[in-house]
Amino acid sequence: MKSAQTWLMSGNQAIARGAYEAGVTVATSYPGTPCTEILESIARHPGIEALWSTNEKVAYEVALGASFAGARAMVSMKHVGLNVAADPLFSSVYTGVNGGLVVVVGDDPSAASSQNEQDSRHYARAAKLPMLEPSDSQEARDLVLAAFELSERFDTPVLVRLTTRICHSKTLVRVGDPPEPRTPTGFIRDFDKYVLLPRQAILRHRALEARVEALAQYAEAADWNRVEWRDLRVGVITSGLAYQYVREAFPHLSVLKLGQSWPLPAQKIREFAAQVDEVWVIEELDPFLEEQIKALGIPVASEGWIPRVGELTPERILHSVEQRAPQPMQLGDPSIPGRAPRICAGCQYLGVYTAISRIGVRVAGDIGCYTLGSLEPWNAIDSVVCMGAGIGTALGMEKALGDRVRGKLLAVIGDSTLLHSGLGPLLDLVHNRGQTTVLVMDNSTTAMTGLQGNPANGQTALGQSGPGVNLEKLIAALGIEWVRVINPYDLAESEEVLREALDHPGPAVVISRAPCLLLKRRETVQQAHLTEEACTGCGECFQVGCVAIERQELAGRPAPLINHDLCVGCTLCVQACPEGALQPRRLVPDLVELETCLTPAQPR
Amino acid sequence: MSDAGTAPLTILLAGLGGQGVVTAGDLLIAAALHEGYEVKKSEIHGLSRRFGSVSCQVRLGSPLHSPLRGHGGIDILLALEGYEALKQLPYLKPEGVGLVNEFWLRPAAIQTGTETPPSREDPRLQWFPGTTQAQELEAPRSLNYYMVGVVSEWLPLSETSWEQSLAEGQRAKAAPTNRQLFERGRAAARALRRRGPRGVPR
Repeated sequence: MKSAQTWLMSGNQAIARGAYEAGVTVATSYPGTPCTEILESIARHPGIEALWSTNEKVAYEVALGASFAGARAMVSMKHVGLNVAADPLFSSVYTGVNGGLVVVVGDDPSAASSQNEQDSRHYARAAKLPMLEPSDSQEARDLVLAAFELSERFDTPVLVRLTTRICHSKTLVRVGDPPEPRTPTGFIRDFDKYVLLPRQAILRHRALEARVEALAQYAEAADWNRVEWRDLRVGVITSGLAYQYVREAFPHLSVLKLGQSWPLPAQKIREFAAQVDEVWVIEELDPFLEEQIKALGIPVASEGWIPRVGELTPERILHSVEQRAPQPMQLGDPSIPGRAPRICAGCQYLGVYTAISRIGVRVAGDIGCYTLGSLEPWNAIDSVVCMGAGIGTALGMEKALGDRVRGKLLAVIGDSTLLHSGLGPLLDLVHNRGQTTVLVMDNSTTAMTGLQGNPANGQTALGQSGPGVNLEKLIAALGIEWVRVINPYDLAESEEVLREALDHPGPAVVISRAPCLLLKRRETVQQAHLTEEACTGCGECFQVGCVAIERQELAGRPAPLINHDLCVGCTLCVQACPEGALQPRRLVPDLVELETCLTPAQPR
Repeated sequence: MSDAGTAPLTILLAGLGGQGVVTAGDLLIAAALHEGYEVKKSEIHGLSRRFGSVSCQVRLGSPLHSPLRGHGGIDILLALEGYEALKQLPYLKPEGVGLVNEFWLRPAAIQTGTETPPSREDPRLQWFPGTTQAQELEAPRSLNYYMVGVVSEWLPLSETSWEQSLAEGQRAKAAPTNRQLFERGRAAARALRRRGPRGVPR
């Protein structure tokens, strides 16, 4: 959708476009909502080495190495990914860069697809590097270009902070020309800059403090911090998407829009505050700007009004300001049933979780589609914290409780998450003589973020394919002798092997292996059918948790109603039925009743 | 009928994964762009999947700042499924209008009998037989075109702009059916507005 050089782009696409125009040579990432599409979009531009890395720390280090080599490099990740990459982030601020290095981080207010709603602006202050915050797609493109200039001018990585609504909103963008070809300078040895021994670290820290001063000075005149004079009774200081909300909610008020949220242009803020009767600070999530502005000795009249939980909207800001108190986040009308995300019909996880819930164990979970095993009907997962946390927390429970949990502890982790940050904990389990059982859910992809490649499936962001890592050998090499692979579509086998693993004295790993159903559109050759007379209403089939199994009443008893638009014929419900009332029936093309679920039905 | 300087109009599109909610939003955007409006669109990505909730907001007019509005900020709700329409009602302005496809897919919570379905009685809601019409043409996947036809009656966009939008980025095979469903939706909406006039919500 283009008109001349103005395109309708999402924030993610605009970031990718900006990086392309800036002449980026290397771009890295680990998939995570809301930022996944940045690297996917970059990979479609010519001449860029786009890489899915094993995790955000590696992604950061690869981009840093490219920068050391004199290339422009960008690394993008979701907010919690920056926690993983925090170590190289903090130290790379000391080394500085050679080619420009831009770090894009996507926060997720309202935690639409995340385990927390952290405000990553704190990283800018904690690690002492500049942060730019776009408020729409145009600024996303523009500020990425500016960030590369800033990075090279001040010899520092630069953070660009997005939020979900910036990433996924589409607004018009005037794009620029494709880049002139750039040849990286090559790595130039500079011991005092690139080798952070204690003495060098102190010297670099001294240089860093001077750099921060210079960056704050530069911010005073930077065009991304701008004043819009209107009514002088109230002056609003804001940044990011909150700026657009403020303009929508209070079109008549003066605004200081900060495109740079750290370090702040103190003089500019003082001058703005001096011209207005009172200052409001309106920002999404933490009072990050507000605290710094108060530290300048400027009274903030809106203190305590703005919600700190959940994302803002123009309406929410209006309401909170009118009430002089934060409007609580609205979680939806409880009388209208929600549609919680469900595991796909016929997914391997249905079989595994049915088996786990029959055994009855404590399960430390991890992050991926399989996290949904924590929900009804399995209630199979007892803790979910962050990427790779399951194995370590299970080991901790084991060390705390000893014999009381022997044979009753399971850690569940997916293939991509295992390679992201699960191998260290697995090695720890071996080294520290743990006996926890680990179940690896291997579906040959990074499924939840949209089927990205990873080292387990051998697919790269640029479409190269090859053999993935051999998980059995990898796990065996860590020193785990008991490793079994199960077919998750065999319910009895899954249950039996899991019981055996739990009983094994010493660490045991079970690999449940079947490709994600979305990887290949396989033809459905059979589907489950109910023989009504044989059904006793025991409800075992409902415990499989398949979306294709709906509920009906037969002779006053609950009975399954198979939705043949969704059933893929995996037979897990057939295996779960103790009465043989559910049976697979081969499909004759003419008899496929595809319209079943599309028949209009009235609510009762 | 159009005036590119008009105050912003916000449409919330809602439905289920696979129904074409995002495509419907793109059709609105294309027509509005052709008409010369400023546009912004906000999509929800992430945990939505087949038969999960999907929604997006399309805004057109000027001055346009935010890509989305919150509770009580939506002029037109265009819903492709009943429960999704009811769920989004808090977003609708008191004087807004909800255009809803007459189709219900029971969420899991209702299937298992733990919750009772809510009332569908809200005077702002207008119901249209989109699913029935799409099935009549044996094109259930083109339901979104019918509903875009419906909403077109409430939008200040010219015939030419819709022509342009409908011609863009279509699979040639489905184009005639999509076009036909669009026209049917438009006709149904026109008939309804003649019977019981309900102005463009402001």
